[in-house]
Amino acid sequence: MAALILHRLARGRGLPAVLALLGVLLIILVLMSGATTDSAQFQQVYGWLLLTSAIGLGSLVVLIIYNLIDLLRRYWRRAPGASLTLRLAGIFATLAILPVALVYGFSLNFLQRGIDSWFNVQVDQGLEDALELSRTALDLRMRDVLKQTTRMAESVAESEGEQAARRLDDLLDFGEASELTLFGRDGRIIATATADPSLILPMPPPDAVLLQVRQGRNYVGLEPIGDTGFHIRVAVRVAIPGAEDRLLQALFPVTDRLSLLADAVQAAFDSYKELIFLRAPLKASFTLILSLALLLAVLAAFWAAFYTARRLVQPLRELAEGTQAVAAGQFDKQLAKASSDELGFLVQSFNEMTRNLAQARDVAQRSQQQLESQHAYLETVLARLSSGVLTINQAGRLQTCNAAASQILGVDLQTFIGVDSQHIGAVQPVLQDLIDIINPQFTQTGDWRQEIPWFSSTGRRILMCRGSSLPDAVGLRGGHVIVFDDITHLVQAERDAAWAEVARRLAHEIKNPLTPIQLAAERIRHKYLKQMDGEQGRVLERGTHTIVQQVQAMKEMVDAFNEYARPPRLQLAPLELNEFVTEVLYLYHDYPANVEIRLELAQEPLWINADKGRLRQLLHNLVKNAIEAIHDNQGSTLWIRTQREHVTGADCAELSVRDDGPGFPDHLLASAFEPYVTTKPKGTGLGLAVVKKIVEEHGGWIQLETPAEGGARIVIRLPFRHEDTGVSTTPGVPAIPLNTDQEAG
Amino acid sequence: MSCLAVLLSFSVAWAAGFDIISASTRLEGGVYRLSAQIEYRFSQATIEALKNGVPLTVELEMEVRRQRWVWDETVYALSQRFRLEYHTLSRQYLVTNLNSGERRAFPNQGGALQFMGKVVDFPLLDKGLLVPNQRYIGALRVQLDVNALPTPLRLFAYISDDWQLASKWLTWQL
Repeated sequence: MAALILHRLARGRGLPAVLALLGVLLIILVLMSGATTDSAQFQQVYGWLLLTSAIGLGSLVVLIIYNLIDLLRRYWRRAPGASLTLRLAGIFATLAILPVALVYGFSLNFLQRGIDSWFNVQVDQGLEDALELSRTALDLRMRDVLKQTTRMAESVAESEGEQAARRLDDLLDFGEASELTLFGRDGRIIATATADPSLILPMPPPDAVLLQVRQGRNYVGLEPIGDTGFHIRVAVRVAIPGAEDRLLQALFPVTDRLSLLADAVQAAFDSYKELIFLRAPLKASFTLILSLALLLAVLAAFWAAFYTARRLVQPLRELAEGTQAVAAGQFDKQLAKASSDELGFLVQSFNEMTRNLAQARDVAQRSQQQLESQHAYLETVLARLSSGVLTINQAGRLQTCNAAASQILGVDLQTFIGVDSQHIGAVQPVLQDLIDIINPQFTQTGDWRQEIPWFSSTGRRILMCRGSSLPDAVGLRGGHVIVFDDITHLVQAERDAAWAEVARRLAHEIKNPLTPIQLAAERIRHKYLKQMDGEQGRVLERGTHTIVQQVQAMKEMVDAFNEYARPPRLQLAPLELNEFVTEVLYLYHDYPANVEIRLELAQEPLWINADKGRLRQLLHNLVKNAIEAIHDNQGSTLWIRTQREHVTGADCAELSVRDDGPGFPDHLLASAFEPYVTTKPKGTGLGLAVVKKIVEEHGGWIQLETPAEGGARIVIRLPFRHEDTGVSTTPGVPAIPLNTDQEAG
Repeated sequence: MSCLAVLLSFSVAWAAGFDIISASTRLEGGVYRLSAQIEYRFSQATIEALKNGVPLTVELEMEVRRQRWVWDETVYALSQRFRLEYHTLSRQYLVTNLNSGERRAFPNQGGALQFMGKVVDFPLLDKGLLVPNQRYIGALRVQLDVNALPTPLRLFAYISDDWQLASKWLTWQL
């Protein structure tokens, strides 16, 4: 609680509280100075005033020490504005202390000398003399009354009892005494007479007086009565021969005038003497009050210094904090309105500046967002393009590329952004040919278009490239953009279509005359073999046999052609590939060709939509082809493998057939699937062409590879059957409605 | 009611200070009357001040307390104040009872102190004011009244042993 209050006070809040404290202390000091001099009403509370002022000043000291510690801590923490506050507070405090200390020093000096100057030897002596004079004047009177009393004592010496009392009354009446009392030796009153009827019991003399008189020495003394006036007390021994001594006490009034004057002298002397005696304590008291006043002034100055310094530095500190905030990127920092002076103007300017900065930042952010959205838009469009897009900057470095470009080229081009073409060629030698062909185009301006055959890692490809030099405008700085498509399949399809057309024509043209030729040859044989003999008959026999056989072979060939060129008539049905492969290859399990067939089937079922008959033909063709390849050369093993593959966003079933034969020669790799391309002496050249046709009919994909371990491998990928529809929706392959009337080829 | 006197003897070694030699009460006519003997030993500084015209005020504090378990309850308290001053002109010591206004003059200091130190049959309390069957004690203390000194002197009086003159509380069964 106390710490909280201190904290609030130290932070410059609670100004009224401190001002009130200072005011109270000031009032206390005034009261104390009043009490020290003469003001009677505050004398009673002097002690409390002293205590209160000590507590008040103590709390001020605590407050200031706390202030100082707080400030120093902030200074060491390098809090903004602390250094300036400390310096300002130091300057203010020094400025305040110096004059106060000066005034204090002079005041102290004046105080000491001023109080000393109240007293001087002449006044001292004069008062002593006046006192002595009064005493002398009174002494005369006292001696006179002593004589009177001695006489009275003699006159009452003889009297006893009632007589003595009457005697005393007489003496009182005729003399000047105001009271006469006769005491016995033991101090008891024998007789008394008094002028004051209200006084019943006379005042006995003090013991010391009794003793003195008993020793024979008469006593005369001046005694003050009440606050003013005196009376003279005389006590004399009444000697009675033959009896014990008595004592006569007589009180004489002092005349009013003498009494008053003596009183005045006494009072003046007393107060002067008291003043002299109290000189040192008085000086000390004044010095104390002066010191308290100094302390109050100094402490107030200290506190005011702290307060003012903090008030002055506050806007600067806020400005410093604001500047730091702005430097840290907080542009929405606004400072509280300050005074209307230069600092206030500074704060206003700062606020204006941050507002402008914030606006500028907002605009920049908005435009950057626009830019980013445009960029994203462009990227999305580029990514969705099936054509590969590349941009090359003026320095010949790859600047952008889309996903399709990487896919078509089979190289992750993203890793080559910012790399020049020579370096790309060095890292990816497969791209070198392409670079060599395209590079010359960069020297010319305007559009260009070129069909580029290119040997990729997956075989021969044909790319259709279109390029254009970019204008040297703002943000582009020239360069080239290249758009390319893989048209290998398109070219292939065209070629296939052409071949199919040729095959169909040939089949048609050739098949027509074949039957008459065969019939004619059979008729010749039938008619003329009987007529011929011996050698002639054998020639005819062999000739016609050859004709018929060759025509038959030709027919078969034409049929095969026809088959190849026949438009697909598929009967698609769900089929499990693993099961199917096992079933078909059972036929080969005791194949006598010294070939071992190894099945590596996927663990999971691979369901596809396929025409079973066509697919069987495909598999037969592949296996036969491979076995022949192995058989012709020194191979021994055939691997057949099925697995699930994930290619370009869709699952598919992969069937691969690998042998350890000689593999395909390089020059055949690109055209192995074309009709009449064969490595085998006995092959028709249609085997793989038909395989490819069947694969394409099923919406699949076929590829010929030369694996690193040798031999050849044919990979076929067929789309998975979709469970919900039961029908393959792979684009590009027309889904043929199931037709039970038609026999599958 | 029995009269119970408490007599305490102190070492006579002279040191400034006030001592209550004895104090007792006596029940007379339904009123408790206090008699006490007090020894005043003023310090050098106070005597010097007295000689220089500074009056000294002495306060006798009298209390009647009811005895209880934990601490006693003060049921009745009164004080008697005496002022001792020196009259320069007549060279007399004056003792004034500030409560009654009675003033006596003494030619020497000893007589004045003796007078001040003797309390005889001071009527303390009416018996009717006390609850019967309760145990009461009387308590007496005497001290120099520092607050009656002139203000400049008080500053020293607050802090100096020379001016802190007071007896201990002396108690007795009432």
